[in-house]
Amino acid sequence: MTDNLPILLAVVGHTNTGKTSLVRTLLRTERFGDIRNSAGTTRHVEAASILCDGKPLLELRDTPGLEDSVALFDQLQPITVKHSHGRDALQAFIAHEAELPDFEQEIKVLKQTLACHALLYVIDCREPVLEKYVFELRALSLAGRPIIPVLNFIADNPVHKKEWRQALINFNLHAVVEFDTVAFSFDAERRLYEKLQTVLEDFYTPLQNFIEARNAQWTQLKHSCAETVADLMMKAAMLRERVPQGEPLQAATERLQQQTRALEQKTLRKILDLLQFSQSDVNYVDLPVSNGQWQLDLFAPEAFKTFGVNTASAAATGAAIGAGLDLLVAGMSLGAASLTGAALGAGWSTVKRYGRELIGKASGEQVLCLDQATLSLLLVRQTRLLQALLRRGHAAQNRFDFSGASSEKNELADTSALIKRAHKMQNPAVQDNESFVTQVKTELVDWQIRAL
Amino acid sequence: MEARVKLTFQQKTELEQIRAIEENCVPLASKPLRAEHFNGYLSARLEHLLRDHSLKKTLERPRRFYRLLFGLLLLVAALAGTAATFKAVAGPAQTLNVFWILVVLLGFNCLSFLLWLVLTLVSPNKKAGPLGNLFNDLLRSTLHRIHNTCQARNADAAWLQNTFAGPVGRWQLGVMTHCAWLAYLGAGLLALLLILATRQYDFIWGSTLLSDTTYAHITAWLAAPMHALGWPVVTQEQVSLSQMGQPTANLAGARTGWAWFLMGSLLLYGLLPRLVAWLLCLILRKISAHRWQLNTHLPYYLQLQRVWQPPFSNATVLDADQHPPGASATRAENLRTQLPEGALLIGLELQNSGETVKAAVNVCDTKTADQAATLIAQSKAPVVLLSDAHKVPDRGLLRAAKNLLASRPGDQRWLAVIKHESSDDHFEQWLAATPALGLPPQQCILVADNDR
Repeated sequence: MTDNLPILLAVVGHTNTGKTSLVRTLLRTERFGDIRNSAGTTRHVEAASILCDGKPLLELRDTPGLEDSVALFDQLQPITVKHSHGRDALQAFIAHEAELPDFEQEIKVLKQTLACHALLYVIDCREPVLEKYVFELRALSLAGRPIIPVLNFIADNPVHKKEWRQALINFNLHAVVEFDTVAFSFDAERRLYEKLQTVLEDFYTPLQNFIEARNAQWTQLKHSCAETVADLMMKAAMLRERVPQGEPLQAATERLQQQTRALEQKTLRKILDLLQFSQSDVNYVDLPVSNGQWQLDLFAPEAFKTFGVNTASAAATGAAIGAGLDLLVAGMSLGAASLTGAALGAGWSTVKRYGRELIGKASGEQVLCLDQATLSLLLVRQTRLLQALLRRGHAAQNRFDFSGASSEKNELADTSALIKRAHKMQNPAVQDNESFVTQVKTELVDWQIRAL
Repeated sequence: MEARVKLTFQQKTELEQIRAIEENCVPLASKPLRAEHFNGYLSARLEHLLRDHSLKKTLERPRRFYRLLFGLLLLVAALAGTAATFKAVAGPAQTLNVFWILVVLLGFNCLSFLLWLVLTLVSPNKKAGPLGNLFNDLLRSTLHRIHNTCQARNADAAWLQNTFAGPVGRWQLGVMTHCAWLAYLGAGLLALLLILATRQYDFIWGSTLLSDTTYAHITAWLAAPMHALGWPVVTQEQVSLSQMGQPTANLAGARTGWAWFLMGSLLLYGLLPRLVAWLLCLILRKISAHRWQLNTHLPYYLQLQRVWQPPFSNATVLDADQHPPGASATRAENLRTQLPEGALLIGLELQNSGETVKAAVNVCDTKTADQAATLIAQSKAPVVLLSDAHKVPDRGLLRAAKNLLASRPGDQRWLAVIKHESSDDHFEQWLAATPALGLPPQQCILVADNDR
């Protein structure tokens, strides 16, 4: 059946029910159609395909809204009497297009119902079931194509959802999907494709492959977002600002704050880009940064371990080079070169790692870094952002507000242990501990994925 | 259909180098490329970037530098092996202590080999460890001193990370060290062969601490595998005769045997284990390199996947709008806010105003529309059509309104739009629609829901 691909889907419904929004959300882009809170925003039929393995699999055809179904059905009814098949009646009606200028938009829709494999009938569940909607369904069903009703705007106040469900059952439409185009849910999208599988049996296998590919993409997307945030946390935890003696602390504090905010904004741009949103989807509020003061602590367990291992390996390398010299003199030097090499290696390693810090400490230099509260807030803000954007349709008009994401309002799982570990990375010796750094990053990614 | 492309370790490393450059320096423009699989795309893109941006030299620089250093290391090892042999063997003395020479040539090698073996067997993590990091640091700092552009710095760091960190780095270091020892021992063996071929030595042994039989046994154990392999070795009688204090004349027959024993020991206990270990490291390095995968969850690769296979096609207009609506210029100025006294109130699909607005009838289907028409026909009072502000004035609704007002003279037609708190407001659209209803804008009333 793959020869018949792409599957053509006409997105139909009353005006202003969110048809273009549905297409945008399924395409995951804001660059489709025009969305306004008024009647007749979409006046032409516009199509875009969702690709699977580089080939079009689903072609979504956004149609103008049906505005006057009562009058339309009045016109259609006498024609349906003359034709035994609804499709023939529709074709006969469309043939008189030139004589029906009032129904220009409706005829565009009817043409698509005939051309497409299935119809997605978008319903605004804030509206009660009115007679005009019944007429719409009767007109659309003449095309003899499967209709999947999509219940939109169900997240906030689905007053009429039950009523709609019953009305659709009365109309013999059982493959109903609840899909809010503003409050997006990946599960709802999957169910929509599953319903399509049910009504379009011929396309079962390509749709199954598509569902699996879409699932994998979604998982990958979440993982990429988590990686991006983990990367930010690592960089923020490693930020250090030196304050030489005599320099005002305020200037260094401001530099640290600017660096942190720049890092967060860079991450924000990356996330928006990954999720195909734009800056207009968020209302960025500066991160309140409070700084902590870093103290040289050779005996912090991770630092101590890294320092020990690094020094030992440097000593071993020095000893190995010295041993080469001992070998050159056939051992006559009695290992003096090995011993000297080991001592030099250990010394070099210590000076390389702590020389700058020790000199700084001796000269009264201070080192500023982010405190745990700021790191925690940064993690909470980014997690809230990801949670909001992953549940946001590409037609949503309200903005995500960073000011609402604070650690006081934190309902997320406890981050204190994780932040404490990340905070340890302000110590350069800990930064050298590759396994510790990798482990913390993995923990951050895992935590994020769980939170999403 | 294109076969699934397997990326070589070198390609994967170069891709990581390109990633480091693009993420930290500048994104590199690439022409659109077609490929069946993502790996094929990555490979083609790499090829193009190397050619179009002249990056070959930058990416190869760390590898070339490493090869140069490795060559130097082998040279130094070979020189050390030769020098050690000459120092141990070539001298004014005509007698050589067999076991002293063996200790000089094989002692340190055996110790370091055992150390490597133990660490390889017991080390739980599969990473290169501190020695790899140290080598990494040394190479990086040297490379930075030579050429320190953003591209070079990042390409170097990515190459070093891939080559000397992680599981590949562990075996890479093994390959290097075993190869160096092979050079040391090989050069030592050649030097020994040269010396023994050109000069005549008497081989002796002796001990103050150990018994005579101990040495005889050690020699027998060491010689047994050589003997089994058909290698000429000293006999027990020759071993006894070579003990210190024996007349040197008796050693004449043992010279060749001891020389072969010495070279056999170097081969069997020095070169052969190193060769096996080197081959093992080489194979494991290849396996690790083959198994090592690019982290395609990284945002960078996700973006590349979208370039390779866009998730959706560009939108196209299938059925264009031939009669776009003109812009309306009706302005809301000095509007009434009170309903006219004694007017007949007719609702238009009123939803939330049912309890507060006493409409004589709420038009929401054909039946109620007929009821409203009858009421209007029976009444002489001005007619006020009531609509909710959140309701979109679609053509159907406007047609119904027009029909209801048709029988009334112009000054007795009114439209009242009820504005509710926290609802979308389409008042401006209702106002713009007044000419279509035959109403002057002054006869449009804005009623706030809480006013009534």
